[in-house]
Amino acid sequence: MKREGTNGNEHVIRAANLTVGYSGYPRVLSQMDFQWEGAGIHLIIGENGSGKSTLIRTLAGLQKQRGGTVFWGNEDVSQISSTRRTAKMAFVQSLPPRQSELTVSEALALSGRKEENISQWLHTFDLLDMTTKSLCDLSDGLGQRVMLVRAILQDTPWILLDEPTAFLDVKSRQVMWAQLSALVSKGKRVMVSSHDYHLLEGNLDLRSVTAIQENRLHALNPAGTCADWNAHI
Amino acid sequence: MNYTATVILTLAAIFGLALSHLLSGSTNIDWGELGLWFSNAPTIAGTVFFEVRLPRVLIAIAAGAGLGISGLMMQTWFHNPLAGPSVLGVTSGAGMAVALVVLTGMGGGWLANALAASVGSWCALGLVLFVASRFRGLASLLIFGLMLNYLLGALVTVLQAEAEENALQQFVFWGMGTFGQASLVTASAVLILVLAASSIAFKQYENLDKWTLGAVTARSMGVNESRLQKILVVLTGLLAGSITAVCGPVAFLGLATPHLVKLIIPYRSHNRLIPMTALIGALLALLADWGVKGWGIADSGWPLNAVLSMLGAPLVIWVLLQRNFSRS
Repeated sequence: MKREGTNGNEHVIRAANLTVGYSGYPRVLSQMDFQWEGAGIHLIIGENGSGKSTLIRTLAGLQKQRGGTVFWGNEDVSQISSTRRTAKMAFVQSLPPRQSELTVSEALALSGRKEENISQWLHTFDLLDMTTKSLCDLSDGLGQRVMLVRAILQDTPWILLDEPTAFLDVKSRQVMWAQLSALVSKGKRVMVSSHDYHLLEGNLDLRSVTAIQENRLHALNPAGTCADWNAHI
Repeated sequence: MNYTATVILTLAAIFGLALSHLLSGSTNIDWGELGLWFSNAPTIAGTVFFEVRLPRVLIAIAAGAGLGISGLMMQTWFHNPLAGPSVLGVTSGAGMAVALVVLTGMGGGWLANALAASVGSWCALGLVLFVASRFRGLASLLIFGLMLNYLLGALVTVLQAEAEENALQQFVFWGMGTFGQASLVTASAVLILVLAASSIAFKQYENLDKWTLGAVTARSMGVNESRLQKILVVLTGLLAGSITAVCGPVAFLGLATPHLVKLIIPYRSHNRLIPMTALIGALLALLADWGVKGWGIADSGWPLNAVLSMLGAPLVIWVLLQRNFSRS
């Protein structure tokens, strides 16, 4: 990962003098200049309330920034039409959809993908028995798995996941990381926000690690050791 | 039973009920004279059929379908299964506006009433939307609707106290809800409006489905939130407004119909919910009108809202008992 930079790659996500947060609240993160690029898993790590979710939603173009600009490639995110945005980026919220009565198959049919493609992913995430169930009747973990499949089916260069592991059991986490790694090896870019510092010590092959510390972003060496990281965070 | 079969069966039931309303009534019709109505020769048969029974059937179908769809739209938009035009004060807004024009003697014509009612429901809906973003949880919004209903009801009572007797009587009957006040022109106009609004709503089915997944996810899937909201507000206001102007503040059809639909079909995508809600709403309205006409002890029959409440309230309570709200 490099700081700043003006390369023409259309799949670079770049924060330029970016300030994120909600109006009426103290600024969460301000005047960030940062960029994320290349196939792989990009981890954003920070404690509860550090502004991870706000940052990742803003980078996804789903929440208005309070200052500065988010660029995808050379384009200002706020200028990208919603149709083109859906072709570039899929997003999974930290909370599963507890109010949607859509059945699992109806929710996934919204992706417009072929049925056999959908069932393949349902099989991978062990959801084949759930297809006729309403999302609101699923447990949070199952609901989150469905939303993960939904995002994968969107088949975009970037997938942004806000705290995806929060509701998942150990086995589901393993399946998720394995599938994300498989996608990454096909050239996809995945950004994951998490409060879970253990991810750094796992076997994950991370492309970049960004720590949120004292309202600033810090680039950590993804191949670093615990001692290195602890020095920074 | 598959979806197509359910649709066909419901259509057949609507057709049968409509026919029963058209064929029977307190007046015996000499069917041979019916055709004379077209040649401008006034006969009892023609008048009863074309100016009483047919408009009544048409407005019942329109009101049932239209209120059902506006209820479904509101339940989806607010992520709240207990939302509906009468629950959230939209019907009261329309009622308040009609009371204002009728009781002050400014209106009375159906067009003036319909216009006032639409404006009234838009105002109420605007107010609900304005505060809805500040509420967390299902209950606050419903309590706000309840308070809005009280407030508008109180204003109407004050207007009534100040009104002239003639206008007052007209207004009180209107307030009990009825399909019996529509003319052929108003009934057809409302029916056309409902058909148009339903097809516009149907075109939004994918966006509505995505919206159920939550605002942020919906946005990430390409839903234009403010555009969808505008469409829903205009449709709901037009539907609730025009129907309330002609039929009075009709209870329960908006709230209960989507729930009944969800008991009948296992699908939850709006491309099936919207057509079925229109059909089941029409069916319920025609059924309720049999209650109004059939069981009436008084000559004028039972008030529509009384019948609908007797049908609708137990249904909603049953749905509440079936659903597990603890997680929402």
